[in-house]
Amino acid sequence: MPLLVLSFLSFAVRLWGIGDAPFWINEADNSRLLLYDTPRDRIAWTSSSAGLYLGDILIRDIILFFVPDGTIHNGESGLRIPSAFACSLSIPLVYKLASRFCENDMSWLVTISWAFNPFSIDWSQQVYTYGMWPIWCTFLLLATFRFSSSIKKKQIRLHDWAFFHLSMILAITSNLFILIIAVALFPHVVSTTILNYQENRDRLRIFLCAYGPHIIPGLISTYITLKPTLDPSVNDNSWMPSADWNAPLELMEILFPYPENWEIIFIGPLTIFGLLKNLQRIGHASPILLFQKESSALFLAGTLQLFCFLFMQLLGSPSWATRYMLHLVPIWLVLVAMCISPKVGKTNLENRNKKLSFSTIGTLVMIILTISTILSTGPATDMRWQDTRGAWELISEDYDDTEVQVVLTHPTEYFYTFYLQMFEMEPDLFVGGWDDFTEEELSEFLSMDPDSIHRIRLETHDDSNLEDSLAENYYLSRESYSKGMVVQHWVRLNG
Amino acid sequence: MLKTRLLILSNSISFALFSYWVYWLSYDGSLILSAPLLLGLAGIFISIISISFSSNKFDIIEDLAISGVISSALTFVFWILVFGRHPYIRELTPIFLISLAFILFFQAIRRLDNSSYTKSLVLSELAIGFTFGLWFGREFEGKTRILLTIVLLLGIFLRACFSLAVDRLGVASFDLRKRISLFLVSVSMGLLAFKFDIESRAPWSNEVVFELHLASRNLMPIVISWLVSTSVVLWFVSTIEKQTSSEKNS
Repeated sequence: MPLLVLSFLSFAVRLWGIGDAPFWINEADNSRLLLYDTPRDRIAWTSSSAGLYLGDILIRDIILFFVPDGTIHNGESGLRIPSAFACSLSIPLVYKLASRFCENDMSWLVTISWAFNPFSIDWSQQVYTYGMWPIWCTFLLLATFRFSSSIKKKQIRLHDWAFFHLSMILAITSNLFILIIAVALFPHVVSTTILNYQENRDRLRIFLCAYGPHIIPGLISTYITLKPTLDPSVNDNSWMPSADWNAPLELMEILFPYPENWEIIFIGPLTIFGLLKNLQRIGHASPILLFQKESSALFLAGTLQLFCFLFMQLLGSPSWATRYMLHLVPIWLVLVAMCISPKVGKTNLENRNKKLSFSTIGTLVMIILTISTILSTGPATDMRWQDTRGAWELISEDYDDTEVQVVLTHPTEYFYTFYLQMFEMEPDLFVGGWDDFTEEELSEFLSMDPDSIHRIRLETHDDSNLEDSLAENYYLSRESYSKGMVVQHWVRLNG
Repeated sequence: MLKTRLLILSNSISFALFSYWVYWLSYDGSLILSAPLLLGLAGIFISIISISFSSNKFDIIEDLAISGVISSALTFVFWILVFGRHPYIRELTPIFLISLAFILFFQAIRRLDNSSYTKSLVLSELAIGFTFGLWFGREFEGKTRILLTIVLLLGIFLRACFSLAVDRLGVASFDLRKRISLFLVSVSMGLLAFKFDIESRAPWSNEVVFELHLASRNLMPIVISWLVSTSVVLWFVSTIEKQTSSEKNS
């Protein structure tokens, strides 16, 4: 019941001003994908260079089914609800994960910190799939740990298998970042199997039954998703930032954003101290024993993606975008909590008093940081990087449907389908592209002899070529700006 | 014995000729009084006469029915290889399997034979798997086909009826894991058939007439590899467990 209340509160916070901000350019593009009529179109066009997002599409469709049609088509909030709701659904799963590694009070602190984490709230308030990733991530971790526990007991029940395979299917059909976690958990399952079964035949049977069905589909899925990424003509990844020496600080700020830099002073040393204590304990263990520990598996799951990003950076393709790490935030929170106040087993009760002082200080710091996170909650931002709605409002002021109207867009016209429908415009030509139009394309557009040409583009795009070409037959009647966007209205010279 | 074998041979040839005529009729719709029709009907007539004179009627009927279905299926394969696509290419394969399953089930009930019952179950599951793969693919692509849906429902209905006989005939002797494994392979075969069906081409031809939807193109290799991998694992596990249990018994 408290978890339900917490999830509801977290969802309510996410709904607070969710429709205030206009779509920025990527949201505007994603909104089009949600409004395709058939599931196959949604599946085909949602798949990107990171994954197929099947689970995300399914969960989004289910939630959108309950959202009234008017809310979906007449504003931004309707299409943002699925992500916000899905992210709130991950809260009970995070508690379940935390309670596997920490004491109950610390598990609650982790869960509350996650429920009101501003970074997760902000990204789950956008038309993106990021809000759904924590569900897949925590479900995969829980299902794998449940499976490995049943291996230890040598009593694998049908639902242990079912959860494990379902989580693997979700990981493979979701995206590469979730698949990385599945890869990180692989040594844990293998070492647990080796340590708990003596016969090679039994080991092979468990290993094959667990991973046999998923290895080839996983490789094929990776190939299908990575194929376009590796082709620079299809996918321009040059915008992706690199990690620098501030990256660890940046990650700490994602975890505990308020008050500024406190986390470095308090949580940082406590975590490092706790980690060193653990390392001291496991220092002499063999790799197989190390991998068998759930805490090691969790650590690997929470860090492998970071190492992958750093490795890619070394290869010359940086991809340090913090939003790709949203699903790792609950793992990091659990790791920090586990270092400060690990779960004490029945046999370790005697040692509890020794740990009490360290653990109490850590818990107190966590309480302060959690309260400050709760106090930081507020309504959603009313503006992001671009104001595409504002740009369409500007177009609609000059739009005259009794004349021949052409709308030339940058980037492609797909980005603006949502607002075109919302403003009920039906231009005679609605076309766009990432690059400049060729002369042939332009002459084809102008052969329609349009009375007005509306140009909408990102502010960063150099449009001088198009302006020079249009200036021969048209004059610039108005140039206006909304955040990050430029809108021009060109009128025929003899008009 | 020799007489029975000759009768089965003549019956097979008659069914092959008659079905050849039926395939043409269902292809172009023209009723032509041709040699295959006349010879086929004559052969079937001989079979009926022979049945009426035989002492063990049901055994002969079952053997002739099985041989008839198999020869019709082989004739269909021949027809496809020589003349290309057929309008009922999607439905005929599961119908042959369902017919065989039905005959074997009839035989099992009559003889109280668990082996025939197992065969009928496996065949009906193969038919359902193949039809489901083909049907699901077409539905996903938005190419609904009522006749295929009817065949699928017929397969499911018959399989449900077969399971009612479990009290009388006992549990199927073929391992459940191996049955699921075969079922998954047949689903993947159905999905492959769907691909070639939509692309309007034979598996050995590269001339794609219509492209599959992007979603189907992306998902198909993953789904098929999943089905085949799972099926291999299930078969392997079944074999290992059989070995283990036989070692324990010995």
